[in-house]
Amino acid sequence: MAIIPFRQRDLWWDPFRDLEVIQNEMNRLFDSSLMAWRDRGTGLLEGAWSPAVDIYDSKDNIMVKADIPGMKKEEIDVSVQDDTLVIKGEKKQEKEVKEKDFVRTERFYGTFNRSIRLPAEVDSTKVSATYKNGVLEIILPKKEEAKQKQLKIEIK
Amino acid sequence: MAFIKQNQRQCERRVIQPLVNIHQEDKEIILEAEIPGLNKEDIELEVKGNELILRGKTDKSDNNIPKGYTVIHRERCPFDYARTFIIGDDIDKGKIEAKYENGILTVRLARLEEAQPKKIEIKE
Repeated sequence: MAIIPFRQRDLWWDPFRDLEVIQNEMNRLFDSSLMAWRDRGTGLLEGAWSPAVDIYDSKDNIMVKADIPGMKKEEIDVSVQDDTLVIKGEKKQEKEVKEKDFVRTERFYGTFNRSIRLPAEVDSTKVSATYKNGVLEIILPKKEEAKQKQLKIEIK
Repeated sequence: MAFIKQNQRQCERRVIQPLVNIHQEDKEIILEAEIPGLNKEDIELEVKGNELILRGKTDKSDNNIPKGYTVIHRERCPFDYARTFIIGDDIDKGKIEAKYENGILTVRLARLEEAQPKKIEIKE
């Protein structure tokens, strides 16, 4: 604070200036507290929950990983149609708890559905999926034709 | 493009607080925390005074990208987890049990005998 910009002192008190300061402060507060929710894909302003997903690519396969904690593997439904991968399911409470017994509820329950457009054609008969530690891992082998499409172009 | 930028910014955070559910039963208080994708060995639970401290470390080798793969799209940032809870005097600190299953850490905190609710019979 070596240099403070000079500002003419107001002759009249302006109540709206104070309001503006309050508004800015409120915006800042909401930005920082809602940010924590956005990180987890549980956007309060985005509506329904859907799992966070990574998509990876290799020469032969496409791999999709999704964070879906607290499910049983039978409750997750994975399907491939043409170039779209669909992950859906219903997250249920492990045990029925009466509302009055809850001290805190932040976890999400209910149905979710996430569709992912795949970056290459895959052989839908050879798709495999595993669920471990709350992470769903799907490996989708590419079709032979799709592999051949990746032509190397010679630089002259 | 804005979407990608936002994701990158989100991944800059290193540690996040896991989402939790807490509910009480007659004999215990049950805490469930969502920490997907960790190994049991990388979860740390510690009681210090009246604090219960939960920490989880995500494997950050190769930035958590599977071997032989390149990233096309990324939302799952390799975060670490940390959260502290204050435990009341009604908890038996020697009787805290934890289990990690399907990405959920379930902690059972037994309540002291004298803190458990007792039904009082109403006489006529």
